[in-house]
Amino acid sequence: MDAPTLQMLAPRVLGHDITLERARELGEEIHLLCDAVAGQLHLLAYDDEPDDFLKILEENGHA
Amino acid sequence: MGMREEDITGSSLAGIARKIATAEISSEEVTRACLDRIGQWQPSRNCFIRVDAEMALARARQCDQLRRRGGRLLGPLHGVPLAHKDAFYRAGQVATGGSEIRRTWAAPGTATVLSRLDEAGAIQLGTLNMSEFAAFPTGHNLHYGDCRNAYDPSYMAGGSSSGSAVAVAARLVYAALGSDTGGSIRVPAAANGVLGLKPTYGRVSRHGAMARFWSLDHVGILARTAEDCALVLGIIAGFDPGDRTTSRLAVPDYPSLARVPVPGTRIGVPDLSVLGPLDAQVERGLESSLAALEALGAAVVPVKLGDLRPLFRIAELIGKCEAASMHREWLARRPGDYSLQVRSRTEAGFFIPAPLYLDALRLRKALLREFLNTTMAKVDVLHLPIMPGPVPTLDECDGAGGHDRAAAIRARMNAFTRPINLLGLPALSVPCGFDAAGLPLAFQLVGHPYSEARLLGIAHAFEQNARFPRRVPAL
Repeated sequence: MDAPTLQMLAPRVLGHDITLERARELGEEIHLLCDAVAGQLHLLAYDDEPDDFLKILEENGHA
Repeated sequence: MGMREEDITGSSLAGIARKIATAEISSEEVTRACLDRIGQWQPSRNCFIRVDAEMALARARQCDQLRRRGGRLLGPLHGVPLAHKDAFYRAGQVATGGSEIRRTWAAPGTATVLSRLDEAGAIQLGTLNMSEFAAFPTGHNLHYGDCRNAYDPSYMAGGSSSGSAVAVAARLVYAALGSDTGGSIRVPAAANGVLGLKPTYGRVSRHGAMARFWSLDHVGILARTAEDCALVLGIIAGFDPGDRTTSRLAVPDYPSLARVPVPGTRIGVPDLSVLGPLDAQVERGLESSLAALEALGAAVVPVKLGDLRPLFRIAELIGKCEAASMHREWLARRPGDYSLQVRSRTEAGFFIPAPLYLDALRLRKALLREFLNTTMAKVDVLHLPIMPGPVPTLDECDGAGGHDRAAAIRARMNAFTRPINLLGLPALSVPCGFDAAGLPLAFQLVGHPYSEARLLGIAHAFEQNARFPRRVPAL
């Protein structure tokens, strides 16, 4: 999402206006975070669910 | 002859519990000694948000009466004074979460961990300072005043469990609960020279603990010895119907297991250059702690550690989305009651697409499996830094100042801790000496799922045998 779009959406999404500079900062932050997830999507299988994480912890439990 | 006040407050948790149990000292004497010390230290360290002196003394007298009348003890912490981060709910009492928003909010119920400590006989002296909504790693707090380092009040206490670390380090209480979403137990523990245990996700109930990010929050312990951590963990760990993410795996006898010897333990050590620049003093602390562990019979095994930054950012994405959802209403109605840092740190979460948030949660399974099958495959624990640099002064890392250097320090403070929250693995901050300014140094042990006993066993052996100077904070 580019800075002008973020700035335009801010009143509805955040409830207040933001400067273009703040929109740029936010855009960079969002881009970095989303890229990190997108870069690992090849690890996902169709049937993976969020709660599977808890099962893996238990299955690998070392008392 | 009675004990001197500094001998009372200087005792370990396990030690003072034994003395109270055998009537060598009364709970009231111990509670009064802690309250006296709080009175001396609070003005310069600001580690309490609220001190409940009368309530604590009344409970101490009840504990003493119970023991005198029939010799009955409530549990292993009978009459022992503790205090906890102001993020744990107790029915009818205010739990501020370090925020203005909840300055007068009374909790409707009691956190499972507090109920378990109550049943074990513990006394709560009050609630401890913390970062606003557990949002920052430095211990600054606009609403209740900054919490200050136990060793030097001009330095950072660390956060968000700032008061927990300072109160334990300064011998105001024997142990404290904290919560850790990205390093909020381990960083302040490291900065104040105490142990900080973040258990495996699912080991300790989060029910009644104020959420920072549901998916990454861990409730844990700050204490002065590994034995003390083990004692408290044994009480608070285990399945809770109030928290569906808690495990039904049996709770082992942590205090016994934490005395298991170190020889043969395989300690994985990554090439530190992949972690980015580390301060020379931090490196020396890591090296000397490793040498001490080797001398105890541990085998140091080089391991390949991938880039932690994607794990850090995936955790950030999850956290920002969850924080945006939790804070939406308050941000709309009461924006002026937030510090600018907390408000602006939450904003990105409102713009992140929902499918990516769900993908981030689904990825945890694969990322954990990969980490266990690669980095952890041939080792029992991983040896890592907590922070990349020495403990900064409060001014150096003041978020309100808007300085680039402060922002840079804060940005890297959780670089080695937050990725572990994403993976849900147990991790322990262990003190290992002091830097040139006299502030504590520490290292981090990361274990396999549910291997808290092993982490505590290594820390126990280390603290019994390590040769770094022991210094108690002074006023």
